[in-house]
Parts: sequence; structure tokens; C-alpha cells
Amino acid sequence: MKTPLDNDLNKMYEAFNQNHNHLRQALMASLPDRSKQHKWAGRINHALAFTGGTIMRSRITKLAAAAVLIIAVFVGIHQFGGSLDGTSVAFALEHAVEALKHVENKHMVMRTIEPPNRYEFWTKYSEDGRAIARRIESPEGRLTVFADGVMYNYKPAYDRNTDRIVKEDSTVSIRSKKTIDDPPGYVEQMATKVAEEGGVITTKFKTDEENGKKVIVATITLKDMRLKPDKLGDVEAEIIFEAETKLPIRAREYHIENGQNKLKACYEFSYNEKLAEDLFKFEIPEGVKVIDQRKGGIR
Amino acid sequence: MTTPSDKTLIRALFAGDKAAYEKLYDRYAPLVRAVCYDTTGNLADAQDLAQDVFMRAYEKLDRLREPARFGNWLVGIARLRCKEWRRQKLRSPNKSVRLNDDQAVAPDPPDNSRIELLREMITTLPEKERLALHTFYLQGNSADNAHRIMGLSRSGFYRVLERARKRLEQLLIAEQENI
Repeated sequence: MKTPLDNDLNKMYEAFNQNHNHLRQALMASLPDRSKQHKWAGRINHALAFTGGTIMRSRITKLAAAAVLIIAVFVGIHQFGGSLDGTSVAFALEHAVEALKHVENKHMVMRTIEPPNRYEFWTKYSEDGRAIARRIESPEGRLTVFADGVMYNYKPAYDRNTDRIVKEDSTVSIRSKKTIDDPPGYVEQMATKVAEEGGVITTKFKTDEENGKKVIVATITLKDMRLKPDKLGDVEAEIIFEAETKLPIRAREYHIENGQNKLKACYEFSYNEKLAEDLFKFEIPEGVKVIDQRKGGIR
Repeated sequence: MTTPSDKTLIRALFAGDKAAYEKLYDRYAPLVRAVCYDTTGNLADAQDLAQDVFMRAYEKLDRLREPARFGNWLVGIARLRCKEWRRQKLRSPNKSVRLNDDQAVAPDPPDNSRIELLREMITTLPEKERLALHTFYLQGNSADNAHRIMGLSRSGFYRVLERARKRLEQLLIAEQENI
């Protein structure tokens, strides 16, 4: 039996039928015949062809496009229950692109195992998705800051005997740079390798709960990748995506040597953090050698 | 005569029967407009967005993996389009994509205050509950198709719907007490 609330809601929803016939006519008149539409379906090759074709024409850089491709593959498999075909990947691509477009800044911490080092990256993006500022903190106090078209590279001269920085031997190089590769990081590097060297992707997935959040755990294997100039090998990565945002939050990189997975690096990603105002500012320390490579600069 | 299912209509469409899409449009356009209205807040923009959603869906039909879930897929496209619209608004606040107030189509006569109030209250509900109301009341007051659109079991759908209705009733009571 309908209640007064039902009646009111039905009345309210009638508004969404307004101009319906007119709108339908307008839409139908603007639709092409389906026979003229490109119909594609199939397995991974179709998906890759489609993904590349669409993304490369957009404003997203090639590098980011490759990253999108990887994420799309992951998300596609997750969403469509384990199968991978052109349809699911292409649909999932929208989610991945969407997720990337919303990132205002990215913070990545990378830890390598041999040698045991820690790197920290912050990247800020413009509204149209370009990387406009970056800060990289590397071991032994090395620092790279890019902002407003200028890149600073600070290399402190580190004296291991005294465990001190020797200022007069430290350098700051300054150069003009219009754009920076976008975005740096493990997922992107892997993706670039796939794009450039044609690695074979295999994946397995599981959905998990972590700290109360649903995550997608993806394992990707890249066959016959160039690990060193003269050495080919397989690389495996475990990447954990937050199911809600579709963004990668952690990754582990393994090189497969003699059938054994050897951990090479761990990565942590976070997004849209509140950044310190001076994060992308660089002040030249007193007493260091300055190499200004900009036009008219001091060399 | 039985109503053709979404799957039947999509098959017919692929076979070259463009009129099948008209039937799908009739079935889902009000729902898509309601979903878009949640974002735009006015019917004119919601209608524009909904047209765009149907255009995109038509272009992307080859990617629809399960034709029986067309409604669910379409609502997904609508939500994505709404996100884009919001972003567009944020980036170009001066180039408003919303019509001016005098051009905007009022979704209901202004004298019907309870209806107007209900509409406002619905926008304050969680998205899932809003969608449950939209699908139920725009799919002939029936859960037959509504629960599939939401990707929920029938009982799960009713639970969400009941929650939404209860919340609305409470809001209405609170409003009356305030008055």
C-alpha cells in the first residue's frame, strides 16, 4: 500500500520526465548508426591497442599513459572477476584516468635493499595533470628541487671519515627546465619498460582488507626485461591499490634470479597531503660551489 | 505483451535496430537525470548531462560486457560524467556550465513546498540511499530492476531503501517540529 511519502516521492520524481519526448528525439537524431561504429573486442592486444591510441592523443604524457595502462589492466581484472579482455580494460581505464586526474600531489618513499638507501619524492600537479614542482631527497643529503622552470641539484660533499659535509666541495647546479618527466616512481618505470621493451604481463589478483580499507593486491610479472645493459631477466612487482580510489599505495619490486624472487625495492605512495609551503623552494647554502647552467649563468 | 529485457534490446541494437536504444532511453533517462540532478542541482543541467551520458553509452556499447547489467553500467557512466562536471565547475568557475537562473528549468512548481523540501532532503542522504530512492521510484515503484541497477540482492536493496525512507521521514518530522 502506498503511503503519503510514496505519493509525494512519486510526484517529485515526475519532474525527471519533463521534456522527455523532445529530449529523446534530439538524442536519437544525433546518434550515428551502429554499423558505422568501430566494434572491437578480444584479448589483451586489443586492449593495449585501444589504451595506447586513446591516451597518447590526450594531454597525458607518454610516461603517465603507460602508468595508466598498467593501472587499467589491474583495475580491469579486479572489477571484472579475473578475466581480461578489451572491454573490461577499456572500461576500467576511465576509472584509472579519473583517479590520476584528481591527484593534486604525490608523495613517494622508495627504499632500496642493496645498497640500503631511502629516497623521498614529492610531486605537485597542475589542474590539468602536469607535474609542476618536485622535490627529491636522496641519501647523503642530496637534494633536487624543481619549481617555476628551474631545477636545483644540491650535492653535498660528504666526508665519511668525519661524518661531516665539506661545504667548499659541495655543489649546487642550476639549470632551466621547462617540464619534468611525469610522474616518477616505480609503477611508472615498470610501465615505461613495458611500453618501450614490450615485456609480457601476467597478473594475479586478490582483494583484501588492510587497516579497515579494501585493497587490491596485484602481482605483475614482466618477462625478459633489460635489468642491466647486458642482462635480461624477469621482474615481478606486487602492487597494492586502494580499492576505493584506484590509486597505488604500495609496491615491492623483485628481480627473479635463478628462479628465486630477490627483493630489490619497496615503495610507498600517498596523495594529496598537506605540503609545507617551502617544500619546493630552494635556498643555496652559503659557501657551496654554484654551477649555473642557465643562459648567461656562471659556469 | 512482455517488456523486452535490456539484453534483448541491446542485441536488437547490435543487429541494427536503432529504435531499441529509444526503448532503453525511455527506461533509464529519468533515472540518469535524477542521478545527474544530485550533482547539478538544477534540471536543465541534469538533462544536458543525461543526454551526454546516453551519447557516451551508445558510443561505448561495445565495451558493455554484460548487456543484462546495462542499467548498472549506465549509472556508472552517469556518475563519472557528474565527477567531470564538478571538476569542470571547479576549474572554470567563470565559465559556468550551469544555465543562468532565469534559463534554468525549475523541476517542480515552486508552490509545492513539501515536494521541494523532499528534493532538498534527498540531496542530504548518502549516495547509496539516494540511488535506491531514484531507482525504486523511477522504475515503476518496483525492486525488480532497481536492485540489479544497484548491484544488490533484492533483500539488500530493500534494506537500503527502507533506511532511506526512514531517514526522510525523520527529516520531515524534524522539519515540521522546527516550523
